[in-house]
Formats: sequence, structure tokens, C-alpha cells
Amino acid sequence: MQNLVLHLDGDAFFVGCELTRRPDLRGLPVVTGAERGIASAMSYEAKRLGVTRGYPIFKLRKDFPQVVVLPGDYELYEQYANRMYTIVRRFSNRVEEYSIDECFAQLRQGSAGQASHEIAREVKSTLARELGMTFSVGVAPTKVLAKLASKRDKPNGLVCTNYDNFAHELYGMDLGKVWGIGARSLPLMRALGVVTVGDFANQSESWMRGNWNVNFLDLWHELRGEQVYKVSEGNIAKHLSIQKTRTFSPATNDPSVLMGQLAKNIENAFGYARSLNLSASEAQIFIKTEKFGYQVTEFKFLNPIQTPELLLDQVRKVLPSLIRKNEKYRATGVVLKASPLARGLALGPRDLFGNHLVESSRLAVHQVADRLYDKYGGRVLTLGSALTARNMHHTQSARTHLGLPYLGEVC
Amino acid sequence: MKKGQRTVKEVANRLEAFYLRNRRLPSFAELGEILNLRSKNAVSQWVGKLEEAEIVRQDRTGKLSLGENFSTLKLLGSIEAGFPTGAEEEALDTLSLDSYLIKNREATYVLTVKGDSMIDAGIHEGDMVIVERGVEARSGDIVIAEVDGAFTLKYFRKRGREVSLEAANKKYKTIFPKNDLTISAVVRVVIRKYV
Repeated sequence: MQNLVLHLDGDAFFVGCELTRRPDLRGLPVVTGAERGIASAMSYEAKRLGVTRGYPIFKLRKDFPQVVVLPGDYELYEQYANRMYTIVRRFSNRVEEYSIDECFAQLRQGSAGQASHEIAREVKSTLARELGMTFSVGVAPTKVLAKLASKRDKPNGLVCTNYDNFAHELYGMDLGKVWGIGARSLPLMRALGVVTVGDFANQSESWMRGNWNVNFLDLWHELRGEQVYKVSEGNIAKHLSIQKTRTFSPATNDPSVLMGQLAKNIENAFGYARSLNLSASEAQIFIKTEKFGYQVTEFKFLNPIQTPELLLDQVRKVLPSLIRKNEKYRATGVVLKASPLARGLALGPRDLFGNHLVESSRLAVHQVADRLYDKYGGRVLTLGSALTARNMHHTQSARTHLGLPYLGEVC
Repeated sequence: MKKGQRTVKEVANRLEAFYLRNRRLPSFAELGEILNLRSKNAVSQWVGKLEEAEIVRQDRTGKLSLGENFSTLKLLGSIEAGFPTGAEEEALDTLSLDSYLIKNREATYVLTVKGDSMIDAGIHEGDMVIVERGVEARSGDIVIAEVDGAFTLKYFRKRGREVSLEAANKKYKTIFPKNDLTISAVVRVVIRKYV
């Protein structure tokens, strides 16, 4: 009886999602992140050219004109992520939704050896068949080892190990590939002659205790095949990007119209965050020109928030400087970086200046609006600043109605 | 007590509101929050009632899934001359449009039709097609195939080893792929909305 952990990691996931509706881009260097102004995901072809995460888009256009740059579509990525979790749950009743493109699954007791190998193969082929993109899969005795295994043959890798052979399969890998060994500790390790995973795992416990803190000791146990981290059920998504965008016509550069559109998106994004019990620590807004160009700006909040007012105030201030006179805009959008609040802090951290009190009274009002939403199935109570968006013509995508990924047009 | 006055229908409506918003059913803990119930026992009593009404189902792990009566549209059978008798109406039962149209949700996608290449199959420009990935196409199926990096909607034909893509419009020539033919998905549903 062996308990094994499966780890699953999407190969250039955002790009993979995009390619399901853009078969013409397959095999080309593709990057997402046009709406942020920096590369957020790269196809393997783009990585090979030397494009890295965070590469500025304007620089990319100059350095690598052959790269196709796409705007991110977090709604689509989330749909695919949810499908990924659901498919994995067909094979395991304990699945941890680790991030938008990764999850862990506990393989059932007694399903060791050959059987776990078969399960991994089937999970992988089902995902490829039903989602139309590839994932890398690793199976090993612990979470840290499983994550290492999925990385070994990436992309499209399948590395299945068990208690007998995990050391043989994984100990030759570079220590830098280990989850939790960061850029700071790596040079120290190297200086001590600890270069591979095996070098680290084969150290004595007293060396570990003497030189490193308890987190490293946990890693050391995990890398020796002794489970420290459990696969926790359910979705404890660390953070989530919540995106709301709307395309409208006619295109305009009237600040009050654009503000109304942004307000509507911001209101909806925070409503969604509240429904998931998440709060936002960062936000980006963008306005999109008729020529598919983007003007982007970012905001950071001192305390995580669940209500839109603070962001709206800030957007109102910067929007006029964002709008260019000779451009017309046809879409606006907001992306919130949201995460769950720490336990016991229902309203986030207390604040010397009493900001948390302002937030808590705002939250009370929005919760009433949310209850009305639940009761009547629509935003009956809406922000005044979003009113101008009401009478505009909106181009809505099919997926908003059907909840299915929309793959575009077919002739 | 407030709880005693609540009806299954009210609870079902709340459940539906949650579903519309989150596109999934709540966990037991979340259901407790929705219904303002602290005790797990009370929540599971409601789940029992909902199950009885076939609004939800419970799987082995205790997770809820949609039952046949979840958000129902009444299905009255095909329209023929005459009226269905009461007995027929009962036999047809009710079911949700989703469960009628979609077999494997995780493998199901939507596209919009452009052009008139499938017009004789009754598929018009602007129609939406619901397609399923990961299933083998049989000869005669309408499929989404990948030709020269673009999706195309055609009849899939197979005669012996030879495969082809056939339009439902005389203006278009049948495509005989030179290399391997990639069938991305099989069409399951065509939707046309009259507004």
C-alpha cells in the first residue's frame, strides 16, 4: 500500500488556452500580456527566442518583431482551470487547486505501482483530448517530489516515480528546480557544494538542523520521500486574477463615458471577488483603442479591499491623463489580483488611520446590494458612476450566456 | 422559527442564484451560509429534501451535483398535429436545457457560424454550434476540422481509408486533406435565436 501524489502543471497555460481558439498560431512564438504591458506567459517557441516573464511589450515588439502578442483573457483561463480540476476529480477524490494552472491529487491507496502510472497517463490524455492543450504530469511519494517530477520532462512530460525509484529518477536534477528553494538560498547551497537535489537530500539531519531553518528541514524530509505537506481538499487558490471587460459601440474618447464603463467593470469585479470571499490587493485598468492598442495603469492598495470606491477614486484621477486626444476607445477592463483574507481578519488588517472602518461601512452597503443580487438575479442596485454605461450598446460574448469557452468563428 | 417556514422551492431558488453566479453548486459549508444555518445537521436535512425533489444529487464524496429538476424548463415533446395527452406529458418529464444539450461539460465548447457552406444542412450564418472535443468522429457527423490553421465546419466522410470534408452547399468543393486531418470536435447542437 503506497500513497502517491500527482502533480499537474499546464504547459505555458495561458498561451495553451489561447491556442485552443487560434489554431493558426500553433508553432509560433506567442506571448500574452498585451493588456498589462509586460509578457505574462510565453509559448515555448517564444521562450526559445529568449523572451522571459515580465519582458516589456514595447521592447518585445522591437527586439522580436516576429512574436505574436495577445491580450490576456482571465475569464477563459479560469474556465479552463475549472475544467482541469473537474477532470482530475474524476480520478481522485482529493484534489488541491493549487493555482490557475496547477493542481495536486492524492492517488488512492492501493493504487500504487503500475496502477498509479496508468492513472497519470489517463489524466494526462483526458486533459489533452477534452481541453485541447498539453499538461506535464509528475507522480511521486510527496508533493515536493511530485512537483519536481512534473518539471523534469516539461513540456508535455510524464514522469511517474514510486518509493523505490524516485531517488534514481529525480536526484540528478538541479536543486534550483525544487519548489521553495529560492534565488537567495541557492548560491549559498552551491557554495557548500550542494548542487543537485540528491546532494541536498543525502545530507545528514544534523547538517540540516545545524545550518538551515525549519522550512528547509521540511523540504529535506519531503525530498527523502517522507510526507510533510498534505494534499488538502478543495480550492484554496492562493490568489486569483479577476477580469471584467466590456466592449461597446460607438467608440469614444469622452472621459465620462469611459469612466462609466470602467465603473461598471470595477463594480462587477469586486462583486465577484466578494462572492468568492476574496479581497484585492492590486488592480490594473486598461482602455483599448479601436486599433487594438492598450493604455494601462496599475494600482496597489495598502490594505486588501472588497469594495470598489477606493479604486474608483483613483481611476477618476488618472483617467484623463490616460486618454489620448487622437484615439478612440472601444473597450475598457479591470483585472483584480485577489486573495483570501487571513482567518479571523474579517475586514483585513486594522489600520492606524481608521481606513478599515471606512472599508467596513462600505462593505456593509455592498453586502446589501449583493443580497438583492442573489434574490433577483441581477444588479438591481448599482453604482451611480456606472449609470452612463447603462444605455450603451454592448457586444457580449457567447460564453457570458452559456458558461462554455467560446472558440470564435467557424466557416 | 424561521427555518420551519422555508419551502424547498425557496431553498432551490437560492441554490440557483448561487449557481448562476458561481457556475457551481455550493459546498455544505457554503450552503449553511446561504441558508443562515449554523448546524451541519440542519444543512444536511435540506440537502436530503433537495435530493428527494431531484433538484440536486450527491456523489460518493458528498459533493453536490445538478439533479434533473434543477432550474427546469418544461419539455413538451415534439410539436405535432394534435395535443399531447396528459399521460404523454408526464412520461416526458422535465429536464434542464443544459443536461439535455450537454453530455460532457468539460469537453464542450461554443463557436459562431460564419458563411453559408453548411446551408443545406440547415446551419446558417450567425448560428451557434455546441461542439464536443475528444470524441471520435463517425462518417456523416458534422465536425470542426482544422484546415490550414483555421477551423472549418463540414460533414466528415470516410470511405475505407479515404477521409474527406464535405460542405452542405454545391458552391463549395469537397476537401481531401493531403496530410493528416485534425478533427478538433464534433458538432452536437445548433442554436438559432430569433429575437
